[in-house]
Parts: sequence; C-alpha cells; structure tokens
Amino acid sequence: MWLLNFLPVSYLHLIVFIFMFGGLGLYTVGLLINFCPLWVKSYREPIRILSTVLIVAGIYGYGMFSANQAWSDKLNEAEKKVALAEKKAAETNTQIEYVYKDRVQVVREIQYKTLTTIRKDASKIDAVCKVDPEVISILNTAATYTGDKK
Amino acid sequence: MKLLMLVPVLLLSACSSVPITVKFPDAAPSIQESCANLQQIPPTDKLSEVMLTVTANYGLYHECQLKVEAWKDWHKQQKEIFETLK
Repeated sequence: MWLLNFLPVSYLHLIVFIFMFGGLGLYTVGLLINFCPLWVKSYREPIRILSTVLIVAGIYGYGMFSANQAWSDKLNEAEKKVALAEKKAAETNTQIEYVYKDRVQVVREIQYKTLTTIRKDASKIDAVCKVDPEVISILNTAATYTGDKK
Repeated sequence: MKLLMLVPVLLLSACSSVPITVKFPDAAPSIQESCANLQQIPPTDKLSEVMLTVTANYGLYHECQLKVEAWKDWHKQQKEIFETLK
C-alpha cells in the first residue's frame, strides 16, 4: 500500500472517484442490460462482478484516504503543540535566567555592603580578638570540598 | 508460495513511527554552571580577615541556593509544559 505514496495525491483521488462512480455507472448498465438484445445480456454477470469490485475498491480507497487525512490532521496538531511547547520552554528559560541573575545581583550587593562594613571596622574588630591558627585550620577543613571523596 | 512471503515484507517495510520528536528543553546557561568551591582563609591572626572569607563563603552559598531554586523552578515549569503535550 505504501507504494501508492509515490503517486501524487490528486491522481489517487481521481482514481478512487473513477473507481466509485465508474462502478456505479457500470452497475446501472448491468441493471439496464435486461432491456437489451439477448447477445448483450450474456455480459450482464461479468459487468455486475466488475462493477461490484470497482465500487468496493473505490469505497476502500476513499476510506483509506479519509483515515490518512485524519492521521495527517492529528500529526499537524501534534507538531503545532510541540512547536508551542518549545517556544514556551525557551520563554521559561529566559524568565528563569532573568530572575536568577536579578536575585544573584541582590545577594552580591548585600555581600558587598557586609564586606565594606567589615573592612571599615577591621581595626575595631581586630583590637578585641586575635585568632588562633587552629581556628583557621578547622574552618578551612570545614570549607574544603569533599564531594568526590568517599 | 515463497514469493508470497515477500508480500508482508513489502507491506510492512514502510511502516514508520510517528515522525515527531520532542526536543529535550535546554536549561538557562547561567544555572548550568557548577557552584563554586568555598574559599579558604589565608593564614592570619586577624578576625576581620577571617570574617571577610566567611562572608564571601556565605555569598557563594546563597548563590548556589539560588541556583538550586532556579533548577527546581525550571523543572516545575518544564514539567507543566510537557504535560500539555499529552
């Protein structure tokens, strides 16, 4: 059946309609043939068989096209949905990036203010407290990344 | 008879799956970067210098926290978008 895909759709439509209406016409001829001379009547049965085959083939082809069209419509709808989802995903990313950068900016501003305050009051802070080297070692151990170690 | 066996092959050989592929959505580039490692305190006996490093590390933590929040948000929204495709 897939071999039919090589033919243009309009040709196939035409063939299907020729089958259907040709079959109907032939069937009518088969009915009217009773009024014809005897030698023509002998063709009645072959004409009826042929017309029935043509009608069945035409209806089958028409059904096939309808089913094909229905699938094609579903495919188009799915493609539209996917395109819309991809667009939305891109917009979401832009929005998330914007919000993230904005929040990071706030964090950095607060950090900058805190660091400035510490630098400004350094002499006052250092006057009352001297840090033992052990404290540095403990804090550095705590800050060391150990994610890869088991 | 043997030739008849080719008929189903001819009929089925062109059966294909639905030609639609949904691309896995990319995440925002800035949230794909790994969180930075915490800074080490330089050898010193000054509390202010210790505080500077600790404060910087707090900042790094907050940035990393924001990154995780952004990923969670990304996942939630992408899931909602994905659900619309069903």
